[in-house]
Amino acid sequence: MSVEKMSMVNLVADLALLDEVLKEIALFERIQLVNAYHEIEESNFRLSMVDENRDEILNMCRIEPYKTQVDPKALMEKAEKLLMMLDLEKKIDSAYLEDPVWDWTLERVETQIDLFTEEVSGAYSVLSALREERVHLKELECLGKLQETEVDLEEITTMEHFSARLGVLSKENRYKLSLNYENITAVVMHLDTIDRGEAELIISPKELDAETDRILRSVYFEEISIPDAYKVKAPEALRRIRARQEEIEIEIAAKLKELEVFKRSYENEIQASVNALALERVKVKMRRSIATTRNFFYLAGWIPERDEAVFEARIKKLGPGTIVLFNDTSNAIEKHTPPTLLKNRWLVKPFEMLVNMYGTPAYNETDPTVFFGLTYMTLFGAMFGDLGQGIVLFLTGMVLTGKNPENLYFHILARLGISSAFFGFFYDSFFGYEHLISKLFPFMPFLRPIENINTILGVSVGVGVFLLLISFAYSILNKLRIGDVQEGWLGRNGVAGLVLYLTLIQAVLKTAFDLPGLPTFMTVILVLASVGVIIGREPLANLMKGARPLYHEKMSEYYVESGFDILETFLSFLSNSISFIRVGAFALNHVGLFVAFHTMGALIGNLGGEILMFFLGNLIVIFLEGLIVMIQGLRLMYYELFSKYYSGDGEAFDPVRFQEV
Amino acid sequence: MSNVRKFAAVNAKVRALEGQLLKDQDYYKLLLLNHVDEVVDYLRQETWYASILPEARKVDIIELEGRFERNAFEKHEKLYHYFTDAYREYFKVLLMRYEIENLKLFLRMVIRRESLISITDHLIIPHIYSELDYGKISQATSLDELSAALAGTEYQQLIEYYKDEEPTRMMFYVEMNLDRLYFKKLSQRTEKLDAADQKAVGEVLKRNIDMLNIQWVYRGRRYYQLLPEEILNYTLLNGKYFSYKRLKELCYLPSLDDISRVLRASPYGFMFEQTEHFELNLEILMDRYLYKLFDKLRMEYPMTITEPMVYLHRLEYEMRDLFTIVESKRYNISSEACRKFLIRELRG
Repeated sequence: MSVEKMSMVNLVADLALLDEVLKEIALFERIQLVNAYHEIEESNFRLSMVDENRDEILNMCRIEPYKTQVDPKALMEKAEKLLMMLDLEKKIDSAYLEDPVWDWTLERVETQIDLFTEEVSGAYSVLSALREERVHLKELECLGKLQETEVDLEEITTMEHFSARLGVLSKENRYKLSLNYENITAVVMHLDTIDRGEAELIISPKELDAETDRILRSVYFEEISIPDAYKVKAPEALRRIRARQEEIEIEIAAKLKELEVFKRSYENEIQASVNALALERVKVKMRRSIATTRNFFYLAGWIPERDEAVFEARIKKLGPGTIVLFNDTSNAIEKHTPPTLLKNRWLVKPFEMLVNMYGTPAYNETDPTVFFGLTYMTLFGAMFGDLGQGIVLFLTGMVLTGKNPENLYFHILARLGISSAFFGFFYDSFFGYEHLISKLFPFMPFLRPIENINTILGVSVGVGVFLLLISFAYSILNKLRIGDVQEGWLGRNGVAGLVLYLTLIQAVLKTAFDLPGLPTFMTVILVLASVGVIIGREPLANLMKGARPLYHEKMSEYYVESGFDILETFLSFLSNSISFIRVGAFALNHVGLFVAFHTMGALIGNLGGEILMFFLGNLIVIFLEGLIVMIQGLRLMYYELFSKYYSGDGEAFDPVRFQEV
Repeated sequence: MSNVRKFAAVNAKVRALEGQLLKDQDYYKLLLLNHVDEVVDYLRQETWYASILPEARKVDIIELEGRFERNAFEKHEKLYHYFTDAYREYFKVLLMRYEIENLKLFLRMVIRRESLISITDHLIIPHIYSELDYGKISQATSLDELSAALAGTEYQQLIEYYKDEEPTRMMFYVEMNLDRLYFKKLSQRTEKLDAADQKAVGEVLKRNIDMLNIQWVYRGRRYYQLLPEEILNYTLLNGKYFSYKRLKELCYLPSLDDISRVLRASPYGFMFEQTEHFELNLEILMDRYLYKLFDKLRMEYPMTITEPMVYLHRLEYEMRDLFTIVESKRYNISSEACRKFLIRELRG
């Protein structure tokens, strides 16, 4: 419903407790640290002057930022390598740290990881060697192409005047080499295409070895070694290769099993080490914000007020000699603004994201989420009212939410679907068919947009005016809350602006609809008075506050600017209000599109055509118009309403979290 | 995808950035100055460069050049963000150049047994492109260690191939191969662009490849006695004028004089006419040629990738000209002599 109240927690404790306190904070995930050293420097850090705090306070004069620390990055890399060797996924889960069995110190973690690595690496290096051999053998299979020649590999590799080498070339380079065969002093024999490229057997005179080497290097020739065991007649070599390949598969399977057994028995220990390391890395980050003396450490951070008690209890449990103090934010605000944590009920919670997209509310600003959420749903429903399609949107939203609960867009989609279905019911529209719902529920009041064009458009503007009035209220409240007299009372989005707007509206109603209203001279006086106030708001506000100088710029400049400003005020009153006509227009447009599709269906003239058009029409309307209406709704919210009252220049609450750094 | 959609934003940005470049008049004035400090003062008072120079403080040449370089790099990175898809990839590969230059520097330093740590902080590291572990690289003190630090990258193999060569030869081989790698990637990326852009950028790329190829052939033959087969294999195949056939003929010519003669008769003859400061001039002539080519293409292909490309080249050339100007002041070279080494050709 609002912005969560924050307080500043100041914590002092014995240096020996540092690790445990940091761990608590990391797992608590509700504290945003600020630099304690700066806090103390600026005398924001408060400790009560009681005798038991004596040591801590005395110590504060020799304070400094926390310096020495080691980032366990290298150790983490070791752990990751271990995970890789065992083919394990990293599992970051605070449950490991909360369980005392797995709560390990860094030393313990290091010995454990070293121990495991030592135990595993033997088997793993055998496994890698086997895998490499497997790849190598796969490449040697190309020798099979020599089968028919019955050539003895032993003989050709030990020739007296010629050297033979087996290797790979890329396709491109093989082509390049082939373009220049006439100049190359070697026999190049293509054997086969393998994974790395083209396998070639190259035979060249020994005397020209140096040149051949250079030429081969220029085409990035990579040699494949032929182990002695395979230097036999080609068919026999291939047979041996196949036999060895079978052996290797068995050996690999055996090694994998061995590792699997190890993995099963020690997975928990390994994951616990990884978690301990992950925590340590979070702590490394946290330690940058603390200050220490020889005996104590000092820590400051923002905490939501309602979590205070729980936090204090958790810290006190760690041991005596910890001082936890919560400072009200009222006096801290001047120094620095607390971060904003929004608190909303489930219905409008996902809309926080859309609000944040515009800007996070400042800590002392009213959270517009509820207003935003409700209004956005209403406007969307009004523009895109269809019972059937609303249900489709809702179901789509629900299915996607189930699959991906983190993504707030899907939550929003489901809510918009409900609103669309609700309006669709009263618009008497089901998948574009009007008069269907009214047959089932004949006694409900229905408002079919296409039959009541003027009503729909009029109501839209009426709703718009109502929403604008609420924005005025928000604006005035926000401004007065931070003591901005000039804009709150005298500004165009303040009380003066509201009076002007109301006066104009009643005048319009009176003239256009002959409704009772203020007498003309009253209207004129009110308009002139409020316009005067808005134009002269800066000097007037300064007069009220007794501040000098009255103008912060040249008087003439101020009035020119202010004069144009009032012109813009009138224009924006008009445009902001009329802008809402689009709500009605889209409701009409929605029906209109369907009329078009029905007509096309009728033109095709058979049932198939009708069905085709029904699906096509609904698809297009849901995707295309749905998207447009979403954007138009957002536009109304951001442009027409937010610009009136919402600044959104806050900083989001970003607590320390236990997660991957 | 319409060209307006692709290029409207970036071209507007490019126009704005082009406004920051120096005018011919600035060049004239800079050439007439006597001292490096005066150059700095002029840039500070009269040009956009004020915003990358510290206020009222003496700036030494190294710092000055570092700032110019960083400026050029940041502008390049900035433009990258204006693109999507294939164009973004293209711009990303363009950033590979910085990595290649860094590697060349590392190699030279390792060969001279200098510590890499001293320079690592000053390097321009294209994080968008690069995945090299500069921390590990800077620890290297020998070729083997450098190669080990590059493990898993495509560069390692290159060093491994040539590490047993004599150092200057090795540098030639590795540098050629690094450039080759870059241009190969650039060619591949160019093929993914739209037809008009491909034509425009491809034109420059092909000529650039021509010039690289003939330089390799020429240098490989003149200084390093490479085998014709070898050098032919290193050349890139997608040049404009020098097709494989022409390159092959060139490589197998019996003497260096023959090669010079053929090159002089080619469209790139202008590169081989001068005799004084041959190597240095080669670069300048090549740059001037590409610069003009780009400028011409910009007229022919409006609203294409040529605009940002022309800008990047102008920026790069201006940076190098500024280096030349600053160095000329440092070594008291006359403004007339200095002018010959500028990439920008001043009128009048």
